[in-house]
Amino acid sequence: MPSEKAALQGQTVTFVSTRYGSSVLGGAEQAVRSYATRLAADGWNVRVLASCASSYVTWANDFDPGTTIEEGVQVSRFPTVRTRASNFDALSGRLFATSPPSLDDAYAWIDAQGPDSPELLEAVAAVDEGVLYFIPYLYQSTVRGLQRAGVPAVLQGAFHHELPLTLPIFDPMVERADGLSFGTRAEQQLAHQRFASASGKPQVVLGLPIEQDGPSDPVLARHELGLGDEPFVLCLGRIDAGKGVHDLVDRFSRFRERYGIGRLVLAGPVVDAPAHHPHVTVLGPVPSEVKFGLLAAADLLINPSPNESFSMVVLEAFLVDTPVLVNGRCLPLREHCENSNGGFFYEGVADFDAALRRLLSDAELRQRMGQAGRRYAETVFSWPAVRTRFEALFSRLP
Amino acid sequence: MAEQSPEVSAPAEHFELYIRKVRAEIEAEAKLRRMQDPEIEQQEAVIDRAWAAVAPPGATGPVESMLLGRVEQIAMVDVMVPVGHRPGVREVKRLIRKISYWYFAYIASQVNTFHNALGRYLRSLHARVEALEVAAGTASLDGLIDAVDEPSETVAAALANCVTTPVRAVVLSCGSGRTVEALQNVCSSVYGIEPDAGRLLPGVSRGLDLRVDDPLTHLDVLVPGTIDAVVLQGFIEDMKPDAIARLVEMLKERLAIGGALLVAACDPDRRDVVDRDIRLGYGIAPQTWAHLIDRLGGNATLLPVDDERISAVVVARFS
Repeated sequence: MPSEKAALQGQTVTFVSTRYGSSVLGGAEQAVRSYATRLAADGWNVRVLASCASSYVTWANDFDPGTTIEEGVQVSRFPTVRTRASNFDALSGRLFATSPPSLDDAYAWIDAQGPDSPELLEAVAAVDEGVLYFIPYLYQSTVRGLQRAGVPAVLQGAFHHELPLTLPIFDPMVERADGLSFGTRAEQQLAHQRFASASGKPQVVLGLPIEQDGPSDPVLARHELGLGDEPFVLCLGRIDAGKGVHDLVDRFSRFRERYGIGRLVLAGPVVDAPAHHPHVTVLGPVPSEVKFGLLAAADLLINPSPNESFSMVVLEAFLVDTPVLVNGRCLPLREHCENSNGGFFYEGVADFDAALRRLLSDAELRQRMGQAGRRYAETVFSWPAVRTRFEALFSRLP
Repeated sequence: MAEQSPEVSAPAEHFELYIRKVRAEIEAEAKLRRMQDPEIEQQEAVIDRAWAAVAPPGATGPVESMLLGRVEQIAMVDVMVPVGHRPGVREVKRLIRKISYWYFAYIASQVNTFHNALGRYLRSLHARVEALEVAAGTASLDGLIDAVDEPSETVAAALANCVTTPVRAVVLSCGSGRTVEALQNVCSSVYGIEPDAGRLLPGVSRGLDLRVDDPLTHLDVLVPGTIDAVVLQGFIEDMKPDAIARLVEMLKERLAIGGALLVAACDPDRRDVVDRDIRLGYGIAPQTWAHLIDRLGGNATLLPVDDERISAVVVARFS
């Protein structure tokens, strides 16, 4: 799709990220790349400051230091001066066992958390035009970097429920930020609960831009993956107990025994294989070319994860008119369903069974919900819509 | 299999209402299954425990906390209305936004700051009330104690014997309906109120008129003079004396003229050791009931009963 030019074309923004690159895994890092490349394509002056690390576990300098142009974005990487200490977990354990931890201990912890790169912080301090954009909150580059910012600064915290969020060092960090952006309204709500200074600042619920980057041919996907013609419900993502997949297989097995309908297909890298069940198919990783075809072929997508910060896969399912059933304990997932009317959510056994039975038995309901989901995904998370929110936030900064 | 509804084909604005209806139907179906299948409750308890074990810190909490979270979510005013990107329309929207944005952003910021302050105040208040409840020992005993046993058939028969003329009666916290069943033969109409849906199911299947509600809430909305006899049992054993006195005052207003109050209360001395320790300070003996009713302007008599828990039923009238 040809890109429409932004209203703030020529605006300068410098993203500060722990790591950066097409090979770097991580939700926040992928978000930075997604924003940066699109804004650059729309004529903004975009720069990224990051460490040379590709792993947040070691902070080893895997990339060369220096400045390169990647996908139209000027990327400057700076070396870390130490890898993460082997006793970091023990340090964390001691810190969180103290209630409340002292400010000094908390700063020592964020320095140990890394990435420890004095040159990166100096580069942040040297930025003298445009806006600095920090993401996410939990690293030294954001906590220490925001203190050194000499131009208006936006914080996209990617906050979620976790012990470090209680540390006192994050209060002055949020206080210092000139603007806030969030992935979901649930995250915004959490930030308002945690930080007294959050509500009065310019802010947006930004989300992530979403687009269909592959064909959505269900026939081809079924053929490529050997799925035959049988209807199925899909769970797409890492196959891991921590992602709720084992819980889903357990629920689905009981559902299948009770009602005798449905097949569950699990697609994604297998980290932790679930128990075998005759009506559960484990595909393993699927080629990216058939991802949207697989989503389109499914009767519905189930996302059982209890702890998602945004969930791209739910919105990708919406893009091909596929409704969803999600774990209602995960607030961002629930939010997508409530805002779109494209999905139902469950918490217990009885509501899971009732919702799945209803969806499997009513093809027209599924179709209308899928269409409602697509309208939501296209309206709220298309790049022009996300960029509009960027522009609105930037126009309100001091 | 669910029937397809014509509403599913309705325009988008009606579709939202339809989806709400479907959600309500799903919730109703789930609720019914929980009532019919005790295994579901056990499975869901296992899931709740598993969730509590894996949930990130702060993601779980009591109902009040979740409610406060919901209030905060709804209270947030967002001036960033999601907009599409159709050519032409986009320009118009941008113009409108430019003209109105600063004004509304300012207003929204004030409102949001107010909501946020209010939310934080309510959370602080909630924490203080919780601490007070703990300090005062009035925190909920849920999960620590078993529900009060339903009165035996002997007690139910004794209660029925107290009713000499056909009256309209209600049994509060009726359990599976043993007392309601005994009263059926002597009352013109009788129904039971029970907060625990699972407990009353056997009685419902026997054709008794048993309804799920909180006894005090039910009394509160009862039209004065429409009931001739009120039977109290079960829940009164989890009330402190001052709350019982307020309940009696309320009953005086609700009962029809000449109406009867029947009480089947366990004598605290007859409780087993665990029950006696945990319910210390809750519930009063039949003799104390009679004393209290007399002091509050009623006329109470005790009818001895041959029962392990309940030594006598209390029959009272208010002039």
